Amino acid sequence: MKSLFQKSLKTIALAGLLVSCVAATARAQNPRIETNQLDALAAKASQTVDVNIDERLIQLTIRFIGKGPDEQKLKEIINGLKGIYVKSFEFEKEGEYAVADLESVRSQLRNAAWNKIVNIQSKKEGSVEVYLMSNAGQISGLAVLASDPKEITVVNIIGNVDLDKLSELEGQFGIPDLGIEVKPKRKN
Amino acid sequence: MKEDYLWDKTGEPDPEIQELEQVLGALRYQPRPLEIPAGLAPGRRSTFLPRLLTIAATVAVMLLGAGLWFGLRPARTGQIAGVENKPAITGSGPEIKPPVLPKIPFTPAPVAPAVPDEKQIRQRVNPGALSREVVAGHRPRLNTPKLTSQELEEAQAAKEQLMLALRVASSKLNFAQKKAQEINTQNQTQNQHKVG
Repeated sequence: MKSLFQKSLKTIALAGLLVSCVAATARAQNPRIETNQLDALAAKASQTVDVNIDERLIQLTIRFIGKGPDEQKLKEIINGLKGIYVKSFEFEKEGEYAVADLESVRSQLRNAAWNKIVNIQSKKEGSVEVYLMSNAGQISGLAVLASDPKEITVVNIIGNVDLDKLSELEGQFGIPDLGIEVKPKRKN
Repeated sequence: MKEDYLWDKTGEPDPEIQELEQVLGALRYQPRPLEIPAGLAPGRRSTFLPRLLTIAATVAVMLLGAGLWFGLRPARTGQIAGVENKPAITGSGPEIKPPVLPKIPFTPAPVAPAVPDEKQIRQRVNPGALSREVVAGHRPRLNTPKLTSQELEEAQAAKEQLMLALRVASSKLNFAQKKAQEINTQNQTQNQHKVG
């Protein structure tokens, strides 16, 4: 009886550990970053931009897009996206937000799933960090953290976009080139 | 009738039957308490272990459910947050200056201009229209060829938000690219000086 009890306890402990690992992995692989903790800054900010577009709204927008060449390009660009989330706060004075506010977002990007591809730190002009999440050679998430003494911005784009489409996104609509090199395709 | 005594003990007693009664009487039923052998006596059954196992199994199932729920929650939250959060542009400060966009027959909502008397101006892009369908529990009808007026309104609001989000993302990525190029240029210049 005692051995049965011990075996049961071991099995339950292993099951709990397995569940925890699965949950942690699922969370780590999720390209959506939580930014709700920044909402309190809206009360201090002089200007706030808060955009939340999920996959359903993107698909709805795609249906709304016309047949013009520019709109078709836009359609191709956003077609692989599953969500676009932007939070930006501008303040009248410096020091209206704490470093910990941005750190709460940055901490979510400190795992193996995210790769920091750009890290600009400037005391005068502020800092910008660009993160990419890739899965099987395809980009599944993009995160941009930008801050200066009077502004804090978090951009989170979720979607299965390959590098070619990302390059198109950079080249169009005023979105810049990130400097990601795309290997030319070999001709047979 | 000797037979009456045999059947129901009435009438004249039959000695022969009485003798048989005496012989077989030793085997008649004797009421006495049941004696159970000591080896087969039921002891007190322990109810502790099954209860503990039941509790442990319940806890394990709850852990499993909680783990799955916590693991899958961000994705669900993301989908709902896109609708519940009210997209808003507020403020009296400087506008976000977006880069020039290509010609698209659609004018996105401008950022509210600065007004000295009012501290905050809020422009909402019809958030009610965005959340109406989800609140009603309808599944998104993405494959229908034509949009209803409500969907058109919702799509237009979503497109405005989409363009605004792309502009903000664009401005930040522009800054990152500009600074990265500056750093590269500085490094190249320093290297040339070292070589020279």
